[in-house]
Amino acid sequence: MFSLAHFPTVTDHGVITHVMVPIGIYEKLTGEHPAALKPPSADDVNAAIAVLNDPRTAWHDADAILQQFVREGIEQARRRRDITQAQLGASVGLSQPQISRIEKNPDAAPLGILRRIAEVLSSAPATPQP
Amino acid sequence: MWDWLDQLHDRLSRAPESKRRWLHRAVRLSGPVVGWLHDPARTESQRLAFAELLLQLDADPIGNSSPILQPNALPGMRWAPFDAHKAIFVLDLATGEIRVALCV
Repeated sequence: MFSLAHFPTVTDHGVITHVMVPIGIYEKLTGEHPAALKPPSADDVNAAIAVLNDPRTAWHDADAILQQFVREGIEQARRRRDITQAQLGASVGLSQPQISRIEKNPDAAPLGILRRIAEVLSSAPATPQP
Repeated sequence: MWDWLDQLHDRLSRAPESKRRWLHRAVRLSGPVVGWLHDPARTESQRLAFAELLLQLDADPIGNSSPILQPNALPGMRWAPFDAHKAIFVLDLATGEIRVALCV
């Protein structure tokens, strides 16, 4: 549990208006990572230039990668909401094995089904992450 | 907080049934980026944050990134934050294509 007594504060007429917290706590509270907002270092840029200029660099379609993440995302979103495959299936009119197959291969599922799954998952509150 | 499910739902609502691609523009990832993403050290939230970034860059690559101002930077070279990381990419203004070279 955080206590204001641990951190420097700024007050205005006796009312605390600002609290200075360590960056790790700020990240935990906001989910933001201020270090990531700094431009990349010269070394990182040079490494990226080397990748871009190297004719041996393999290039992959991001769309396929994104669909893979969505597949994993459906399962993760369902778990974050404490919904079983059977419950999700009941909500969208499918069986548990069908939901399992969709989580394994969502691009083989009709978009209408994916839309209904997204609707159910979007409307269910997520359990806070540790 | 941007909710990828909202974005997914929006995409699915607007996309014709026959359309199977999720990204509108050509977006390619370098081998090092794919390797970085599949590294066992990556967490699901990091991968999802990267997926969100892809959708954001697909929608508005200029508005969702910053130019790299280093003198030897290649034309169209930009960067964007995701999770606690950054993606360095090149945007081809003529074609709209994005090539993500590195995640750091």
